[in-house]
Amino acid sequence: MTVENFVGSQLYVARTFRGYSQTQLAKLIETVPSFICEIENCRKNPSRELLERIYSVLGFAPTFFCRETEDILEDHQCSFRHRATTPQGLKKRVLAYGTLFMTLVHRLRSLVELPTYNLPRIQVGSTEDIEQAAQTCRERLGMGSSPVGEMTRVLENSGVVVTLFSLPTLKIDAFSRRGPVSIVVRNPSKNSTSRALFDMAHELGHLVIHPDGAGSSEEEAEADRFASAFLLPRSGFIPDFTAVRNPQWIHLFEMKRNWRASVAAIIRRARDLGLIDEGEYKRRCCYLRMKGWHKGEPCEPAEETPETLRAALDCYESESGFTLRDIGKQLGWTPETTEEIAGIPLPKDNEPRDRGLRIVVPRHGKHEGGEAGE
Amino acid sequence: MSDLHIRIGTMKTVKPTDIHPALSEERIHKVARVLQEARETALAVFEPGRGDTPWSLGCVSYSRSCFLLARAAEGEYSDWLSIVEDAGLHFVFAIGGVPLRFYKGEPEHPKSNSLRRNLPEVRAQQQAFQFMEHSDSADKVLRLALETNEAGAVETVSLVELDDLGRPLNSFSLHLDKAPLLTFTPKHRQAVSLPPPVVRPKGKKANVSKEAGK
Repeated sequence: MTVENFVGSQLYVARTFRGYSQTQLAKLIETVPSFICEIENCRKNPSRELLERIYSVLGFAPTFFCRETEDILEDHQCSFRHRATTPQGLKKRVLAYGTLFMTLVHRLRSLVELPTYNLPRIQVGSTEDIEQAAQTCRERLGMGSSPVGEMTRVLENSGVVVTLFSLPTLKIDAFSRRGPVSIVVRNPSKNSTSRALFDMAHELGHLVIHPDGAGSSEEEAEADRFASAFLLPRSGFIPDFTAVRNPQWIHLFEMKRNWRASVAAIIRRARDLGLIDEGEYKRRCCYLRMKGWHKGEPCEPAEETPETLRAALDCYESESGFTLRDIGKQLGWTPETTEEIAGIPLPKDNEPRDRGLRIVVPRHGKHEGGEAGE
Repeated sequence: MSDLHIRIGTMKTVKPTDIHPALSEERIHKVARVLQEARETALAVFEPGRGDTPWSLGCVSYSRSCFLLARAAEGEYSDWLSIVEDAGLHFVFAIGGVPLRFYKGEPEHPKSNSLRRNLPEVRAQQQAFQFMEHSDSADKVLRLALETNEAGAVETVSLVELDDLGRPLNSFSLHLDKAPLLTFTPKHRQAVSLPPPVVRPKGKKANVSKEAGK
């Protein structure tokens, strides 16, 4: 007996989300790879027994495979920094994650109004154009030439939902997509907050100057330049860097504390703006490598966490009474899968839900309880 | 200049411009304000409760004075202010080419280390005075002496002319009664933090029962 309304593309999403190849999955569910291929292409339907095995291996409920996902993340829509060297399996995995995450956001948006996407679309043809594009974004956000406080908030206030997805590799730092739901997915495995902030500024660059997706190494270099110009704007950076003649490392780390950009990014920016020559730049880079700072620098800024999703979940719950666990169940995800996709741990069934700290102002003459809405 | 005072003592009272025309009262006043500013910013971070001592204050103040003079020489005062020698603890600047050093202490009693002269200073001195007739100042030593009040702030800056044996000859004192302007101190840029993203319910509260969709 087969399941008639099985949607093959859902199996593809679930399989690639788990990082399995067709052969690996076939081995786990005791079938042949070609059959998996047939199911994914909707040429055959799995039996109920096979579906049960798929469900247990992939961590999705049978209902997940019977409902088509509307907004599927495609490779060409996204920008990967190391497109050529990123393993295909890994790329498919993060795309599947992005698809599932967007499904969650679409669900939340049915009841919750998220910040409106308001990033400009700017065409660039030269380095000066990129500098201007970054400056335009800064001005729109009211940042002038000051350091960026929280990069995640820059994206989230611009209508981009930011999420973290841990990968066992550093091949993918982050990727973005502009669409009905615009997202930035960041890999938190990187051992450097300052570089993570740069990654987000890089993705902001793609969203602004390559809104239809980027692929070439030139476009990646343009996004790097944008990130550099956004985090370290010329008008603010040059006076700071030139305040000290021949800045020592201690000065560069002081700048890092202030600008929240890695020392490597500061040196690179100084070279790009002609504040240091090529020889000085190489000498600094050699020292950086010698100290092992290319793998992780000292004096890292504080870690940033996305806020939109949590706020949207709280709002959704207060509006409908549905928790994240309930939403996951509706979407056909197991609690473990829901935790992985949302990046938020679910409270145990018997555990009281943490609704955050509330300031309760006692009323005169009332020591216990309170009125609704207090 | 209104706040120029002539020190009464054993030293002669000669106007700075009598030593060299480049040493105008206005320029000396401006340099004095820079040195006052450096001392003020050093005092702002002086915390005896955390182990700071007058020695550490002096070190910070000296370093900041050199830094601010160099900034002023590269920027606003570049027409007449220059750095002759910047070798760690031996810092020489020049007003209109006339070399000077500064020290904290009384004008009448300069310390021996503040009188030491290196070749760049001697050369600059000779060049500055070479075309001046009837001047014996080519062999003289010019110093700025900074005197502080009880709170440690610079109160008086004196231009002191000393002979080659370090004996004070002339002194011109400037009382700095105004607060420093912090003109040359680089200002830290404050990071701009955006508010958290605003998420709100869409329109009216949806009428959805919890059981539906489960």
